[in-house]
Amino acid sequence: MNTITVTPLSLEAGAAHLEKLLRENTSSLPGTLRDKLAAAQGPDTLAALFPGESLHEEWKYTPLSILRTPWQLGQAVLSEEPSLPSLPGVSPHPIRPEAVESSPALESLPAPITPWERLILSGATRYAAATLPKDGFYTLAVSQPTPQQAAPTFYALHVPSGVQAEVLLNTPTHPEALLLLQLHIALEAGARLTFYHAAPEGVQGSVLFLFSTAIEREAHLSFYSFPSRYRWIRTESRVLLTGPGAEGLLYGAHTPHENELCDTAIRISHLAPHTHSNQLFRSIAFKGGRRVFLGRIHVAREGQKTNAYQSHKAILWENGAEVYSRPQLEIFADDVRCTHGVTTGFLQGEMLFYLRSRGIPDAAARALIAEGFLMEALESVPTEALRTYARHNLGLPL
Amino acid sequence: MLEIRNLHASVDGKPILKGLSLTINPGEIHAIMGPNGAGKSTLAAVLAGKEGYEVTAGEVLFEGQDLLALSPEERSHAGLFLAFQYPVEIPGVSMVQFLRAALNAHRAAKGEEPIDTAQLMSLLREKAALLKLDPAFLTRSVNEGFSGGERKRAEIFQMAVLNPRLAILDETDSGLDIDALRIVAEAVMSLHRPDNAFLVITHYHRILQYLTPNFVHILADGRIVRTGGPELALALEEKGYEPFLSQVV
Amino acid sequence: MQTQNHLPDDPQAVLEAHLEKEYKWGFEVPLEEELAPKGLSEDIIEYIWQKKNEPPFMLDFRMRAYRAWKTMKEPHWLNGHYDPIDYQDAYYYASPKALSEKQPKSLDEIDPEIKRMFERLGIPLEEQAILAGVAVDAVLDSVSVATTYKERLAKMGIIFCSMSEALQNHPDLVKKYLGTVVPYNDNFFAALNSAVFSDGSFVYIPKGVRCPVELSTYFRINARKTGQFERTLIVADEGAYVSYLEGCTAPARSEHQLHAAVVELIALPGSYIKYSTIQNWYPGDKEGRGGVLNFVTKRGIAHENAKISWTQLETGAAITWKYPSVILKGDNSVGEFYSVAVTNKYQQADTGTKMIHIGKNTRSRIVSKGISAGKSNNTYRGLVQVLPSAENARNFSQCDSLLIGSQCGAHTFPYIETKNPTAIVEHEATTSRIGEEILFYCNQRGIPTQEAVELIINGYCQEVLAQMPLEFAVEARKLLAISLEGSVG
Repeated sequence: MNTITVTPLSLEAGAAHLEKLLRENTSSLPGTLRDKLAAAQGPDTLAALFPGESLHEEWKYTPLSILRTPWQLGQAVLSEEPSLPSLPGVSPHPIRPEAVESSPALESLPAPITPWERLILSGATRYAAATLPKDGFYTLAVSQPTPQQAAPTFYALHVPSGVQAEVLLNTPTHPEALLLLQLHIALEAGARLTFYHAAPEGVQGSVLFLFSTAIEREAHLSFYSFPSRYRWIRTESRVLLTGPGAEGLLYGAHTPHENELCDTAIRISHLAPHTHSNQLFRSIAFKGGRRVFLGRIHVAREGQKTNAYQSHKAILWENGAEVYSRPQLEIFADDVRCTHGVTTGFLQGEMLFYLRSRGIPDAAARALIAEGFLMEALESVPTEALRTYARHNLGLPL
Repeated sequence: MLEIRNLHASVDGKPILKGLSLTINPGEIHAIMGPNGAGKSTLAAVLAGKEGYEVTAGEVLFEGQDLLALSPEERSHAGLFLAFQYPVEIPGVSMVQFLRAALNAHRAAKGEEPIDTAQLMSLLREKAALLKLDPAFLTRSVNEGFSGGERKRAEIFQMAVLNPRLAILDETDSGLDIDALRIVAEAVMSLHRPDNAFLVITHYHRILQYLTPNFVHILADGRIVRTGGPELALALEEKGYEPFLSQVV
Repeated sequence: MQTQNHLPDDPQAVLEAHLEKEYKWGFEVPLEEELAPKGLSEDIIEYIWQKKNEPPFMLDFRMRAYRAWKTMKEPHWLNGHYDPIDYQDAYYYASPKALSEKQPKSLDEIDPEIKRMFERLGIPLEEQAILAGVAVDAVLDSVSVATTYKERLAKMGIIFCSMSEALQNHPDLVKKYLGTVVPYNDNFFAALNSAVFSDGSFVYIPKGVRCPVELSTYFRINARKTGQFERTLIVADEGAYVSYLEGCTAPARSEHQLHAAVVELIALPGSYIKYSTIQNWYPGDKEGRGGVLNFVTKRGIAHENAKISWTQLETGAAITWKYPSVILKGDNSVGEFYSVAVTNKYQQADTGTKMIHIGKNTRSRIVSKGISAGKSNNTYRGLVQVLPSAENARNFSQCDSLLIGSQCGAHTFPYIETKNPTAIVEHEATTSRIGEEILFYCNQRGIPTQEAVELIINGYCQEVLAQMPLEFAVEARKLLAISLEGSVG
């Protein structure tokens, strides 16, 4: 792996540079997406992220290092192989790509609001779509192996009515590369999807992962996210619960290390009655690492009898770690049950002492407690092989 | 005191009570038993004036007044009390505050002065002792931290404080262990006078061992299909509901 | 009207006698010019300083603030909306006589809506007069009551007077502390306030002294008019204690569209400042128009072992931007924030707090209860910041929203920034409503619905109301009941 030294650009220059790259690359924009773009609202340029001296609210605590690099445009590599060590007991089906224009998933794609969505939609170097034909376990890798390159990619996934499936997404990215991935998942009535964003091995580069999903009546999505060792990763999730009985459950275990940024921004919108959501996250930030969390629950007037929960607990492992947490509620319906809670704390002394009094050395005791803490978010992962894999790849120091 | 004539009531358009008639005179204890879904809780809800229940036919006279024309609080002022099957919690509102508000509302309806604090506290403590409840609960929020059984006992406590003419006990015995059951039954019996009456709705006959009813009614499919004395409850215990459902009053 | 019972025989004589007292403060009362020309400029700043006869350091303070203000931009991130403010279209100075001329001469001149509210709140007529800004000084009783208290406090070394008085009689104290918690360039509205503030309260409690009475702006004569740019400074010396009450349940009347106030609290080591506010802004019309824009910078600094508590009840048609904060600078310092914010009809509230943990073993507690009814929107915005130096910091926040009816909105936007691994920060939020089951339960016990709603809301706010001084809490409950009348159908 080569390390290339580059002179960083100023924020404005970098943003302008990236924008130019993406805007000019509109050669292969599919028609249907052009319509979505036309319906776009909100600020148009990346510079809107840093008006004056302060950062835009949505990016308030997120360093904009990805805007300081003179990227070149590259292409992501799409593969059906997970590029993970094989998971025992799991036989994945291939995901067959199809033409983006004909993907039914595009209907429910929300109109882009942020400059990122707009840029990726218009300037992607790869457009892909797929439909899951039947129940089963599928894997997908979107990788960016070439240093100094930014790979904007758009992928739409359609899960038809009644299909029950699991999809494992891996996004290996060269440490000097940038992957801009927008993934939209449309779940038809009664569909059930468990989705994983897993951790590849080794230190990774920068990833901006825009994840949107429209969940129709009686459909269910569980999204487990445990991407560790990315230099810079921001996962923006936009979950729309559009029909009664829809359910969106988001889980995550994150461990930013030195000079790493791990950022999660979630907006769950309850747009129909009797919908259910949960956000369950556990984080450990190490020295020089920054964890940023924004979890918004939005209940529209139509969302009566909604149940929405959120819990984010974070531990600062040592001095120099930073955690920024913003749980938010925007409620417009009165007959709802919404709770959110955020805790930042430290490894309880008594717990540690208890383990050590049983003969377990300090470092191992800490590791054990940390693992148990993080696994709270992932214990409901249905496939055992994945649960085990996650446990061994939480990014904890041994 | 209470006359129910040919009462028909529906919930969400679905008929539950289909011609229920019942007369309760002062001094009487009536028990209503029946299989699940028969309409027992619906009867309690309709008598207390809960929203969501539509009376499609029939009438109810309470002390000569048209009960169905009154709002729930007016029915309470008239002397009706419902011991809820699932009593709710009221966070931040202590039992003292709650009962003071209730008692004063009753007094205002009669044109009386509000109760003074000393009187109120002594009344509350006296009734708490009757139900063998630790008076500490009086300063806690209503029903907060109470198990199901404790809530039921607290309901009877409230009944003792408000001293109604007609008390409806909606499955008060479910969730109570033997000791609690005895305490509740003994409290009810001690409150029983020639000028008040009780309507005990229950699924099991246990409570009726301690509270001897004058009349036992079997409620099935929205109507009273059989009325008898206390021995009817024993017969139910032995044979179940089946034999009685096929009979017609 | 029955005001005649309480007014002295010759009101004019009494009025003049009192105005003479104001001359003692050194005011000139020019007969021709009582208002400075409209607009804001360095000349106006100098005019204000001169008219108020303030010490030299104040000219410097005001001028720097004005120059800083000119370089700043008005903030505009509120959830609510308001029309742009023309800062040049206002008078920034009016003499006391000019002000008194604008006051209503009797209760008959007061808006009948406000009079009705007074009656509902059970406020006695003399108080009504004061609260409505009737030439207060014509009401003998209150003047004597106020004087007695001030004498008693003076004996203990406690200073409680207007800012203008303080600048005349205790300039060194003011100079030492003014602007040390909220610097003149802290934010747009603080800068404006620092440049043109007209008056406010000054409190100083000497070492080890426990102020025996709740200090209320009531005791300051003429304090009832809501000054447009009020400046308050409260200093508790080591080991001192003071409980300060601001506002009252009667609707605060104001002709001004914009209010920009600054409140600075300084709790020196071992002291405790308790600051309680009840703010009931004029309800405005049915559409919520005619409301007030209320921007307040309230901040306290707590030194070692000191404690600052902010307790507030806010209601009415104001667009409020107010985040009482505590800087927990000293080791073992404690900050508390208890708030009930009620919005009804079309009102909007954006309130919250900031707790900055700097010292070791600092603690903060935030309890925010929002109640939204009608078509209103209620927003909580809070910041808990734990700096790397804040070993063992502890925070607990509870932000609850109660929605009444299905047309209103409740929003919580907490910001939690932690940079110290030994800190524990906990934040919880829940939403609830007044459900049919609870209402039916109360009805069945004979409690009518409106009363039941009051009972339930009191229970919901209990934790906050319990923090208020008793008399304030009683008023607060009444106000809660009135603000939510008719909200549950």
